[in-house]
Amino acid sequence: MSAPLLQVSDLSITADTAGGPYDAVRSVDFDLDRGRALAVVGESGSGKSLTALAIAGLLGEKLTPSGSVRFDGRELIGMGAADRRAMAGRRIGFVFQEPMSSLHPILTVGQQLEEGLRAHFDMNRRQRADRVRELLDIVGLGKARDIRGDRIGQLSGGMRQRVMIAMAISCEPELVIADEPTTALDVTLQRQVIDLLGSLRERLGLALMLITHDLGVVAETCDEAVVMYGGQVVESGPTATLLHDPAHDYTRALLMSIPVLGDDRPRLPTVASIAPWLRDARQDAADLRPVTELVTVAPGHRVRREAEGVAA
Amino acid sequence: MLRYLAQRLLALLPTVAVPLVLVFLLLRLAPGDPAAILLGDSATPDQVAALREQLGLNAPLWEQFGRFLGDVVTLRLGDSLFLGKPVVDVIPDYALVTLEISVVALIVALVLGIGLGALAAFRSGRPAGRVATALGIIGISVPQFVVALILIVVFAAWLHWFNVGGFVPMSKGFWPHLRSITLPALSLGIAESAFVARITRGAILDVVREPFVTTARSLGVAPRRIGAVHIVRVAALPIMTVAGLLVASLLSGSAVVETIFGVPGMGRLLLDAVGRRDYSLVQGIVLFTGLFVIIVNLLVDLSYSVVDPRVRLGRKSA
Repeated sequence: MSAPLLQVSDLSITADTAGGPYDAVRSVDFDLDRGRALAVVGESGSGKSLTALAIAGLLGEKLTPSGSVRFDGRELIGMGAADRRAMAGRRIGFVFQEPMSSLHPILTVGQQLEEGLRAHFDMNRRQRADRVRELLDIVGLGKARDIRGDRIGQLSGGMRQRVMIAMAISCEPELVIADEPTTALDVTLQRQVIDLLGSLRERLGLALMLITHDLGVVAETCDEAVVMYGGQVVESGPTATLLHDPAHDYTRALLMSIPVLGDDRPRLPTVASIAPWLRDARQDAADLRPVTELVTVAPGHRVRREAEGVAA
Repeated sequence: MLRYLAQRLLALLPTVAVPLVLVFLLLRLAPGDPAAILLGDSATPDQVAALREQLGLNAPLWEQFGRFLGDVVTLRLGDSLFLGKPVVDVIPDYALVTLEISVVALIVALVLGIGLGALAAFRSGRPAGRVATALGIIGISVPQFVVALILIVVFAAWLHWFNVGGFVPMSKGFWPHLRSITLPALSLGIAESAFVARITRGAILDVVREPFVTTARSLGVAPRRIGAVHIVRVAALPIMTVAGLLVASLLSGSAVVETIFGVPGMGRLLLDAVGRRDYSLVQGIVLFTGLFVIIVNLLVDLSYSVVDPRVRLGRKSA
C-alpha cells in the first residue's frame, strides 16, 4: 500500500499566551489514507480544531505548530506562504462550523463559489459560471430556485452549510476537513449534512477528516477515529473497535453520555470535568500533565496509559 | 428600492425641521429686540417700531414661524443689509467657491485617508503600518489652521509654487483659478484625512478578524484579493458614513481656511455676516448649508444600498 495521503506525526501547537507559551496540542499523530474517512473526536478545548487548522495552514499568529504534517509526501509545517496558498482549497478543502459568519455577507453565493476557481484555475467567466452551477447541483442546491445571485443572509441554515461544502470541494481537493460542520444546525439538518459529506467522499473519492464531538455521527461516516483530550490523543483505532470495545476511560465516558432510545437512566452521566493538569494551565507555567504514552493494544488500536517506570 | 427611497425621504422630515427651527429662533431668541439689533445703536424708537411691524415681529410666534416657512419655500429670505442685495442672489457665487474647495478637499481627504488607514491596518505591527498610524494620530491632533500655515510656509514661502493668498476667480482663467484654490483645498483635505485614516484603519481591522476572511484563506485566495475584495466590501460602509459626515466638517472647516487664504467662499461670508450682524444673510447661509449637508447624507444613505444590498429593507424588491 502506498504512503498515506495525510501523515501527522508528533504535531504540537504552542500558544503564545500572556502567561507564557503553552502547548495546546501535544505530540498528536495519526494517518489518513486517500478516500478514507477519519473522525477526530473530543470536547471543546481538546485541541481537535487547532489540529485541523494546523493541517490547513490556518492557525492564527499566536499559534505555532511544530512536528510534522506530511500531505502526499510533502511537509506542510514550515512550508512557505505561497506554496501553502497553492494547496489551500486546491488540495485541502475546509468546511467551517458556522456558515453564517464563515461565508461573506455581501458577495453573492455565485461570486463566493468562484473565488477558489479564480485562485487556482485559468477559467473564463463562462467556465466558472458552469462550474458554479455544477457545484450547486452536487450539493443538492441545483433543483430549487437559482441562488447564485443570493446573499448568505437570504438562505436557510442548511442551505448555507451546503454552500460552504460546495466551496470546500470547488477545486476538487483530495482532502476535505470538516470542523464540526453540523454544530450550528438543527438536529434534522445535521443528518442531511453528514450524509452529504459521506456521499461526496464516495462520489469524488476524497478523504474526509471530520472534527466532531458527536460519536453518533462518527459511527456511520468514519472508518477510523481519534479521540483527543487535553491536547493529546487518548485513543485511536477503527471506529467499530472504539465504539464497542473502548479501552480508555475517557472514551468510555464519552460513549456513556450518548442518549439512547429507550434509555431509562434518569440523567445522562456527564463526562468528568476538566482534568487537574488542565486547570489554570495558562497561569501555571509548570506542566502538570502526567507522564503517559500511547500503547498499541491491538493492530491499529492505540490507547494512552500511564508510563510505566519511565522518569520524565 | 423605491420603498427604501420613500422611507429615507420620510425620515428626512424631522432632520430638515431642525435647521429650520434653529434658524427661525436664531433671530427671535437673540438677546434684545431683533429689530433694534438689526437697526443698530443709532436707531430711534420709531424706526424700531416700524421695522418690528415690517418684520411681523408683533404676531404670535407660531404665526411668525408659518410665515417664515412660507418665505423659505418661496426662497424669500430677505435682503442682506450690508450688501444691499437679496440673500438668494448673494449666496450662489460664494457657495460655488466653497463647493469647489470642498470637493477637492474631499477627494484629498478620502484618497489620503483611505490610503493611510489601509496601510496602517494591513501592515499593522510592521514599520510601515506604525508610521501610518503615527501620522494619523499626529494629523488628528493638528488643527486645520496649523496645517494651512505649514503649507503656506513650505509651498508658498519656500518653494514659491503657489501664492500665499489672493483668490483668482474662474473668469480670469481656469488654471490660475485652480492654482489659487489648491492650497486652501489641500489644507482642508489633509486636516480631514487623518480622521478618515483612523476610521478606515478601525473598519479594516474589525473585518480582518471575521471568520469569512479565514474562509477566503482556506480557499487559497491571494492576500491582495482578500484585502481588496473580501475585506473592503464590508469595511466600505463605515468609511462611506464618514465621507458623509466629512462634508459637514469640510463646510465648517472652510470658514477657517477661507479666512486664512482670503478666499471669498461661504465660510468667510458667514463670518463676515456674523461680524456685521447681517442677520438675514446669516439665516440664509445657515439654512443653505444645513440643507446641503442633509441632502449629501441622504445620498450617502442611498449609496449604502448599492454597496451592501442588505441595507435595503424590502429584500426582494431588488
